[in-house]
Amino acid sequence: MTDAVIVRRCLAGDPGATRELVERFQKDVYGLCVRLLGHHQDAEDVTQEVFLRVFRSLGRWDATRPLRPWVLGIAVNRCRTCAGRRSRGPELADYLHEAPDRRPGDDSAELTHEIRAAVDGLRDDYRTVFVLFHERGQSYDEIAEVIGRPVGTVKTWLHRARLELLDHLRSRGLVAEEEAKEFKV
Amino acid sequence: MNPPTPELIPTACGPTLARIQSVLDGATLPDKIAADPHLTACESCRGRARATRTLLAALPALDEPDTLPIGLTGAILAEVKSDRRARIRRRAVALVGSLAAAVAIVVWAATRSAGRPSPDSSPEIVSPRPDHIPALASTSAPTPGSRPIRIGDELARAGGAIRESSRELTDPAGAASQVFATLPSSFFLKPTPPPTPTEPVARSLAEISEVAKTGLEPVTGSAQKAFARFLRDVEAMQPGKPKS
Repeated sequence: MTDAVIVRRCLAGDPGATRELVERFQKDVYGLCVRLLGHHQDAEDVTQEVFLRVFRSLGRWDATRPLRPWVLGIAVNRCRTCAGRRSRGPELADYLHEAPDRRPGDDSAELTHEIRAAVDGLRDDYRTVFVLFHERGQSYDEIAEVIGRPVGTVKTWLHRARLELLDHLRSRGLVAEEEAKEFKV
Repeated sequence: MNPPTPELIPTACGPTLARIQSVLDGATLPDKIAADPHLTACESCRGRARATRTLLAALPALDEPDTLPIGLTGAILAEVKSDRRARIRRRAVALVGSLAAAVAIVVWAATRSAGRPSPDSSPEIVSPRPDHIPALASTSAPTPGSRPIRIGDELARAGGAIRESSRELTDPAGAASQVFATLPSSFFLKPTPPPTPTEPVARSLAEISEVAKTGLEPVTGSAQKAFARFLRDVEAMQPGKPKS
């Protein structure tokens, strides 16, 4: 079933189409929320908010454009709002944070943990485009659609995010020495 | 994290960084980085190239799908359903409210038009509009070219009108109407020399008929009593006579 058909059926009040739309996008939305918020409970709440917004404004969706970036755009905006609300509210004690389990088990897990931590330390815009590109597999055009910015801006932000990340990995000594030798004359 | 800004990167590193970005985009094979001669001269780019290999190796682990919480789909659907119902309820309440308001306005308008008498049934409605001012005022309304209004004249005219309207009462009184007729001129026009205290009053009272005399005697008696009391009070307020 195409996006346009599913949306039309949702607008007509078809419960089956509503369920299908939720099942089609909930994984992307939830995954993005987890990565942007770093908190499973917040991500779950924001995912519900996102779908509420989606169904409330489904009538305003432009059928000539793809649905996925539109839904993810709502998710990015809701995450931004949630993060802003959280930063203004009282800070929880560290032990009350229900952060995703990122304890490194072996070298690769440690590396993944380190990269995730570095991504979390990026500026919000950089982190969003990095997550959308490298973790959610979105193209430049789709990301531009999601965040409502030109493709050139998306590329600039992503390149800067990568450079920061590479320099972070270098500074943390997470580059194997034997790999380094292969570039030497 | 305190990364270098792009402005601080030497221009010679530009092509190498572009190649690294292209590799991370998936547009170029990673082997192309190793073949870059700039890496032999630039320690920073060599470090970035190594970090790129490391990042490329770690990226597949980053996009591991997150396990959805149990019951998330059901919770979303329940939330959406409840929100849809709430919106329908709000719309219904708004519709009923606006209908009720419309009915109330129609009823109010109908009641108002039913309670208002038609112009044919009562032509004597008193209204603040100028065209409903009594004839006395309408006759004295200024018109272009007419002489200006004078208060004394208007009062005299009003007195005449009162006299005319009370003719049924005053006719039997005979000369009493003359007393009323002198009122406007005596108050607002020329001052007359003071008569002797009692003679004119006595004469005028003697002239009027018995009916009018009966009506005016209490007035004159009251005035005399009031004046006597006034004199007594003034005398009592003399400073030379302290209270005991």
